[in-house]
Amino acid sequence: MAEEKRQHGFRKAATVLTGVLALALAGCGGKAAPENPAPSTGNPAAEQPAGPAAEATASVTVEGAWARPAKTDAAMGATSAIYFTLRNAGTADDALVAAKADAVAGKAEVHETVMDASGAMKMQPAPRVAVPAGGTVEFKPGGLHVMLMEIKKDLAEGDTFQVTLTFEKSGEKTVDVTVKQQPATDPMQMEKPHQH
Amino acid sequence: MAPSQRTIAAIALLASLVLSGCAARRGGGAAGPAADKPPENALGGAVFDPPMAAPDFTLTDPEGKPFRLSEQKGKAVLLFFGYTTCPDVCPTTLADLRRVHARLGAAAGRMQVVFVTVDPERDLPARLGEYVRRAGHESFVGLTGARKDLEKVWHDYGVFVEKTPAPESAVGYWVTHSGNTFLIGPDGDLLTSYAFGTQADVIAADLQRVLKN
Repeated sequence: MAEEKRQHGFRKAATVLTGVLALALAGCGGKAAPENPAPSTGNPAAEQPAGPAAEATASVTVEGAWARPAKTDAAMGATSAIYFTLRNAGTADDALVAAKADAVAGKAEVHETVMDASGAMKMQPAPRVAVPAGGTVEFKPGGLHVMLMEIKKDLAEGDTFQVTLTFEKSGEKTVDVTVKQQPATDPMQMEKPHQH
Repeated sequence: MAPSQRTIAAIALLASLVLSGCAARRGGGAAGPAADKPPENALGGAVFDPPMAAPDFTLTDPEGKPFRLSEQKGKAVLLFFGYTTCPDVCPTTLADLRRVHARLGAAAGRMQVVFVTVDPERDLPARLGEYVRRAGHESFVGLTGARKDLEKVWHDYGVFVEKTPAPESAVGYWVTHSGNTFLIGPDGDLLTSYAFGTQADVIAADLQRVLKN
């Protein structure tokens, strides 16, 4: 369909986990990146292969990036998290493999929150997040996120900074991140049955 | 007559198991709004039936003053366990509880959110206070204390806490912990336990009911 239903607020770890497993499996057949990382013309549509014989390419865009406010703490360090939607308009699978936001954080790592069988919430690294051809991956509260560590300056609501995400095929993408409080979830959207 | 703390821990554990089961079912995508609606007059979450006296504790608030749970009688207390280095689960829960607070309107003055740390080594009182107010609301309180005192509170509420080394990460270690939020009624009874991700609407409706009684 035109647009996959965004699962705002749908934070059930089970779903996230299932989704990630599926994506991870989808990414299993990935070969080494071909020599054509998507050019950064900013127009993914124009970079679609011209015909059926054309080589598959990945074209990932990063949408709606936001981060939580944070306050520096010289003694103990401070953290924040960035959330966004990854959309792969290309015909080849891709994967997010690194993140950095040097202007505001000493380190950035891709992590995932999962709930184990006892209800305990657990953080785990997600060193490679597959973004399948034609698919979207949501980084959202209670699931995938880019964790910022060693925060160098206070992040207040309304501030913006840049994050650079590195993809296996699409290369580096630098986007603006807006600092804001977690947006309210939309119950109407949440109650809709998922489209498959 | 105080019920044994072991019983409470067992029930809380059972509650979180039941809840995680629910989450998995809902995760299947089949549940509609009706499936989430509790029967009339029933609280959401995993209900303690019958309710039992909430295990009391005294910990330290961000100003360094003692905070005693049993002195909150008259208010509905939402009790959550977390830590300030936690960038995702804890601020998400605090944001949900901020929404609950906003939804209560005038009754919000009779709601007290209590955030008990699971990481006393890093969560010094001032840091904890700033974090809880920033991610939640001015009125929310973050509590810490000596590790042995905190361990007793975690145990009394059946909260799982485990330091997980993260040598590959700049964070040093994670604290894996239970993500549920307890509701304690204005008379000091432990009423229910909400799984991580419970909608603010569900919790707000329960608070309105509990505060009306």
